[in-house]
Parts: sequence; C-alpha cells; structure tokens
Amino acid sequence: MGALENRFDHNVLTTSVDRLVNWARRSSVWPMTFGLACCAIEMMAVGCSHFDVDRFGAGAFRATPRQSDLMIVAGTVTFKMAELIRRLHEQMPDPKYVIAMGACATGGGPYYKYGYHVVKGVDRVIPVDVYIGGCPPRPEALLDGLMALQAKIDRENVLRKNLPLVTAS
Amino acid sequence: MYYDYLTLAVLLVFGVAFVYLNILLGAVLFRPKNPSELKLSTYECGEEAFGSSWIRFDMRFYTVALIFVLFDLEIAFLFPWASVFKDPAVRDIAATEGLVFIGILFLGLVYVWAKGDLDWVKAFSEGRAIVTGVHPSDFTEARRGGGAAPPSAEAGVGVASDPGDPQIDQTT
Amino acid sequence: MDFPSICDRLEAVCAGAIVERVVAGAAEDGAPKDAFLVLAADRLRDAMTALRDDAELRFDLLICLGAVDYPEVQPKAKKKADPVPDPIPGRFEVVYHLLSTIKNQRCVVKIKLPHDEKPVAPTVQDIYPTANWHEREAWDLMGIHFDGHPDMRRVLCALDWVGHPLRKDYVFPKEYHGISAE
Repeated sequence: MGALENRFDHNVLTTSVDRLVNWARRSSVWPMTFGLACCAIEMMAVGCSHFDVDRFGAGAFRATPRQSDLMIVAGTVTFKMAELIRRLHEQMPDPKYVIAMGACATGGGPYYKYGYHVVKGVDRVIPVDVYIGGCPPRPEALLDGLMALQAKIDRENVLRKNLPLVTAS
Repeated sequence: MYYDYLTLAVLLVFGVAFVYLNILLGAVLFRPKNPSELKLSTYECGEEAFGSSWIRFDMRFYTVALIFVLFDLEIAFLFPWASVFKDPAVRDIAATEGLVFIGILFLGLVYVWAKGDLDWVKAFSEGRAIVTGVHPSDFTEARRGGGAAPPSAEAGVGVASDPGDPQIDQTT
Repeated sequence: MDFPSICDRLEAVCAGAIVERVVAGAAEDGAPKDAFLVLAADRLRDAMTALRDDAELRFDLLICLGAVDYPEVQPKAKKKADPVPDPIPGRFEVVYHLLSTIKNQRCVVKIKLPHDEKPVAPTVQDIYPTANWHEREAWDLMGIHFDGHPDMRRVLCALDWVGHPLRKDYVFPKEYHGISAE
C-alpha cells in the first residue's frame, strides 16, 4: 500500500483498517479469463447462472491482466505457454493472486509421466496461492477454492507489520 | 451582483480539488507500487510486442463520422431557432428561413443516401464467376438411383452474384 | 469403385508407382478390409496428382496425413538351437487418407522411408493444401523432412524445441528455458 504498507503495530485502529481493506479486496476479486484447457469449461460453468461466481464479487472476468486481481490458471500449462504465463502474471498490478485449478495446473495432471511438453505444475512458473485438485474440479470445488483464497486475503496484513514466524525455542 | 457566480466558482474549485487530492493521497499512501520491467511492457496477450501499432483504418468510419457531425450541428442550430418562436412578430420569417435551412441539408442527405455512402457494404450489380473444377458428369455416378437433374451449370464454371467486396478506398 | 479397381486404374494412369497392395482381410460381404496402397516415394507426387485429377478416381480431399515410426525389431529364434534371425530394419511410414466427395470412395496410401536421422519425403501440399500443416506436424513430432514445403517449421512444440518427441528413441528433456521438466 505504498508508503503506509506494513508499518504499524497491531492495535485496534490498524486491525480495523486492515479488516476494512481486506474485506474490500476479497469481495471484489476480479479474475482474468485464463482458461487453457478443459478446466476452462468448469470455470465457465462457475461464471454462469447455476453456480454463479458473481455473488462472490468475482463475476467480472476481465480479458486483460491490467484490470484483474486474480489469475485462475485453468488447464494444462505447456512449455510454449509458460513464457506467456510468466509475462501475463508480471503484467498484473498488485495485489494479485493465483489459483491453480485442476490437476494439470497443480502438478502436471494426467500428463505427468509421458507429457514431454507439459510443465509439471504452474508453480514452476509463477507463485500460486490456492491449489484446487480435480480433473476437472467440479464448479463447487472452484468456488471452495475461491472461498479459501478469500480467507487467505482476510489474513493479510495491509497496514500492520508482518510479525516474524514463531519458532519453537 | 455577480456574487452567485463567485459562490459557484468556489464550490467548483473545492469539489475538483477534494476529489483530486483524495486520489493523490490514495496513490501516495495506499497504492502498492512494485514496477518491474515486464510489468511496464506493452500488453500483447502474453507475447513480446512486435510490429507497429499504427494501422490503416477503414475510410467508411471517416464517412460515417463526417455525416454525423454535419447533421449533429444542424440539430444544434435548430434548438436556438426553436426558442425564437415566442415572439409573434418574427414567426413567419423564422419559419421560412428554418425550413429553407432544413431543406438544403435534406437535399444533402438525399445525395449521400443515393450515392450509397450510408450503406456499410456497397452493393454491386455484376456477378462473379467462381471456378469450381467439378464437372456435372462427376455427380451422375455418386447419385443413388436417379433423381432430379444436377443443377444447371456450364462445364466447370458456376456463376454467382453476391454483393461485392466492400471497397476500402472509396474515392467518391 | 472397390479397392482392386482403384489400384488398377492408378496403375493404368501412373505406371510403376504402386509398390505393393496390402489387404488385411475380408469383410462379411467380401470387400477388402483395411486395404492400403504402398507407393514408391519418388513417384508419390505423380500418383497423388493422378489420384486427384483422373476422371475415375477424383480423390479431391486429403483427410489426414500421418507419420509412423517402426523401430528395428530383433525377432527371437524359434528354438534355442536355431541361429538368431536377422533383425527387421526399422522404417518410417507416411500415411495418407484420401476421400472422393464426388465419387464417394476412400483410399489409403502409404510411403515407406528408411530409418535415417532425417528422412526426406516429397511434399504434396501444392496438390492437397490440407497437407501443409499436417506435414509440419510430421516434421515437428517425427522428424520427417518434406522436400519442397514452403514453411518447414514446428507447429505444435515450441519453436526452439530440441528433438522429435514421438520417435520411439526420444529422450525427454531435463529442462526448458530454466523450467524444470523432471
């Protein structure tokens, strides 16, 4: 958040502001249409009326990375596409999130053993926040993944400092 | 006497300044800023941008825009003309002049319409010959158990007439 | 026309092109099953032109063009005492599936190429434009170079990919542009 990011101690004021900002961010996660293969069909189903992702605020699928918060990598990632995925992810403005949807994006999927041109998981190319298993995952599974991402956004520190990890002494 | 305008000016300045300063505040204090070389590069569906972005555009857009501007200005002139009719002394003269004005522009509309500039695809009248290379006798064996005669065509040449290709460079 | 008459007609129009006619068996009504023609690779273009243009044949549509890799096979001796038989040499084959929409008949044509590192076959993309990308795919995945093709580059794999993936002796890469492929 520019000059104020992660500067302040945890008190009632900063926690409240953080709750507000996180609520705003998680209630309007706008995905970028990034359907690569069959998981895209399930993503389209999520976007349509029966499973309706619009009630989560995430119904505005943007075609361009410049206006999107979330990149749902839905489908098989090939080596030819990996370079493009990297560039598109870089072109998204912060704060940005990535969901790896389906077995192929999570870990290579059914092409793990003999796929000579398949990247074994999109996390070899870009950092991933949420992994959704399935081949393809049901639309409810994608919604569950989106809700997990919303929970992750809720835990973010915007104004507050990131506390160091507690190690066992 | 002009104090109302002064009030309005101050209100305007404050309104604009309030919005602008708030956005500036948000940008400086609240907006994450992590520029990188890839992030600032031109978007081209994930590939490296190549080629020039100066493209040659279709002349028809210019024609449509030009006609729109002309008739939009005509309408803009008709509004003050309509407000003159409160005064009974000038009604006749105003009506005549206004109708002459509309009439001249109407002639222009008729010309543009007849010339075909309002159609997106100009219709041509001549047909085009399409050479298919298939002889009607080829179909006699494929047809099972007779039936209607094959569509009449000269040997190997079918004639079709369809609206011609849209002209990109219209000079008229 | 059934398969034998197609072969006879092609032989009449383009003499010496057919190397062998292979029929896998017979269907219930006696028609040949899984029949294909093997052509000589140097006569392929003449034979394809004849197949497309001859009034009786008129195969106007190339449905598919595919490449097959048969590696060298070492058959075992039938009994322990017999000497080890000679290995059957490997070969590449290019398979063409033709359809005549005018005469409603189909035909399968193959050519056999030696099992080189870079086998060369004549291109048919100016006779059948379908073959343009199919031949690029055969080059990309099997390494068969088509002589005379105007645009012989990879179509499926990344443009700087090394190797021809669908060959039987292909070795999987360890990484590509820094992304691990293990």
